Amino acid sequence: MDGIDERVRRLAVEVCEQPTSAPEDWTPDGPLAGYGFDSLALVHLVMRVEQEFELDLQPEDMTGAAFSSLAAIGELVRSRLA
Amino acid sequence: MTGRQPVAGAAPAVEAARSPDAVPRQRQVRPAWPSVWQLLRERAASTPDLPYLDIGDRSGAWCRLSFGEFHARAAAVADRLRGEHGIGHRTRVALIARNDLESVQALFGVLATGAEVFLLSPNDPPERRARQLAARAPNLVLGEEAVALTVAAPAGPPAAAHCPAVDSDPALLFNTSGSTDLPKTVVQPHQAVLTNAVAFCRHHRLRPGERLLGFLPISHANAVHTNLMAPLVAGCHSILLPELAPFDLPRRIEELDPRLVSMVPSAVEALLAVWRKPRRPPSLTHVLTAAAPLAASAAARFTALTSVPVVQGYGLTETTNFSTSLPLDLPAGAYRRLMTEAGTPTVGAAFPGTEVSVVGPDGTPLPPGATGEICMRGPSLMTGYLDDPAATAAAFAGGRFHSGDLGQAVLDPDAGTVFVLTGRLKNIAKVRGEQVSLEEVEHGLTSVGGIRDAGCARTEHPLDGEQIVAAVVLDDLPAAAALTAAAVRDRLRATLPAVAVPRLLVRVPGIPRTPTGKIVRPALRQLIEDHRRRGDQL
Repeated sequence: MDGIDERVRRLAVEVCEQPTSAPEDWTPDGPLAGYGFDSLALVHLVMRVEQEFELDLQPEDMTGAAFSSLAAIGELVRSRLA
Repeated sequence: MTGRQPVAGAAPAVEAARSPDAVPRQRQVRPAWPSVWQLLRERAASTPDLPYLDIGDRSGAWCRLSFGEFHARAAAVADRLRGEHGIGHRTRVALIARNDLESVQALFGVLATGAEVFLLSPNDPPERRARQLAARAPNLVLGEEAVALTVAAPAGPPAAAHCPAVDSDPALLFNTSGSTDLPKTVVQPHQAVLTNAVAFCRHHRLRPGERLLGFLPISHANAVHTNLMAPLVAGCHSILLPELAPFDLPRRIEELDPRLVSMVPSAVEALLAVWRKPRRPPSLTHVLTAAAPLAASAAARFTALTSVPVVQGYGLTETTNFSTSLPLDLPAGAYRRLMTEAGTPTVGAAFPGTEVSVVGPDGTPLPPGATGEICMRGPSLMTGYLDDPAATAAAFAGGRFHSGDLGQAVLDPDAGTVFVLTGRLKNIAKVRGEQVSLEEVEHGLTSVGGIRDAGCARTEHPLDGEQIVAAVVLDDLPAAAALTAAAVRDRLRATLPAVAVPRLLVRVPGIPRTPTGKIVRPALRQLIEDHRRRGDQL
């Protein structure tokens, strides 16, 4: 465990203000949209992820798919930190 | 059936406020058409082949309709409404409107018959919708079945010719959250719709064939007027997306190359977050934002990132759409002074056809620099609140429409008289550009079993603009002690729009109230903050 996934999860819990299921039940591959993230909450998560990991994401990173699940975000962060 | 006449009761004050002569002669706007339908007919006759609307339909197909094609389709819908449903002048049709072709056709089809359209949001919870429909008693409700009225390109020339509704007859009805616990219904007559659309086109200098990009919901006034009515007046090409999809928006703007994008501050913030290495499309002169206050920093960051100016405007459903907007083509120094480096960015100057003033508590106009209530006069105003002469009379006290917003006039050497909003008299929050009545949320909370009393406040949020936070007082019952925030939110979602559901719920021993029972708002805000710090979340 490199801690990235845990940090991503913590940010997601922080950003999702109206979860439709308990954050303990969120799985890494489950769609964030199904947990109560709407489009603006996902954008908020983009902002927090960039701050947390001091990333400067590129146009090609800004897709719904890159922020569709906790695992996808973890993957993106790892690839940009590498 | 009630409420079929233009709102009566407060007539003299309303008539005085809505007179074209309430506005200086050189700034008057007199539309050339008696009705919205007549405007569409003339537009379809003069530029039948120019594109009017790019929009998705319910099968998921993306459609482009010229003015001529759109007119023919709306006329066919009108024929069916008349023939099959008996819809005509002085009838009312509720339309649960989505940003799709079926809804837009139905909207204009209803207007063609002379009936009024009561617009409802598809996102309203069923209980709330049922209450609104019961209160406003439409002759017909077009929901998902609006699709049944969709006809393929009609065969012959449309029979729908003459629209019996004119001038002060109601055209559009919208709910608006006021300072009370029940939404009021604003009646916008044809004349107000047309006057405001002409003013919009004049202000933004729209030319035939120019593209307008929008994604705000047409169940609200802003998108109906900005994205559907103004393009009819100017002959513009409206591109209406189903919703705000932030990850797709940069590409859409770069590829569609619109002249103008209509936004709200939440969308500006979202676009700032996701638009990397923007390529400014050559046609884009500015983005327009309204419905909630834009932060100076957001305007500054947006202009720095994209080199596209942000034009802020201001208006209420009661004033049809925009009452003010930042003048175009300001020198760079004036733009910085009024928008990006201002403490509070200006909402701009009065729109053509509307007089805007700042008045004191006794109703007298105040000089520039003095803070008072923003008031409007002119033919863009509503005729009143449906079936509510008392609220209408209060809103039009002294022959001016009282916005409930506080602000001041500023004399600027380049922009002339512009306005700055500084506060609100009404207990409302603006979440994602949608108006939320704190009292309606409080009413919703106390309807939840186990909650004895409740008070709400607004708090700032980086993307939503504002959000609702709430203090609740629980009953002294074991069941109340077991109440969770998730359970309360679930209950509220059944009766309130999602934006109105509180982000934070704290438990407090009592709500601070005056001897007459009114909530002491500043004390409540402090109380919520204190209990949040102490970890008293529900």
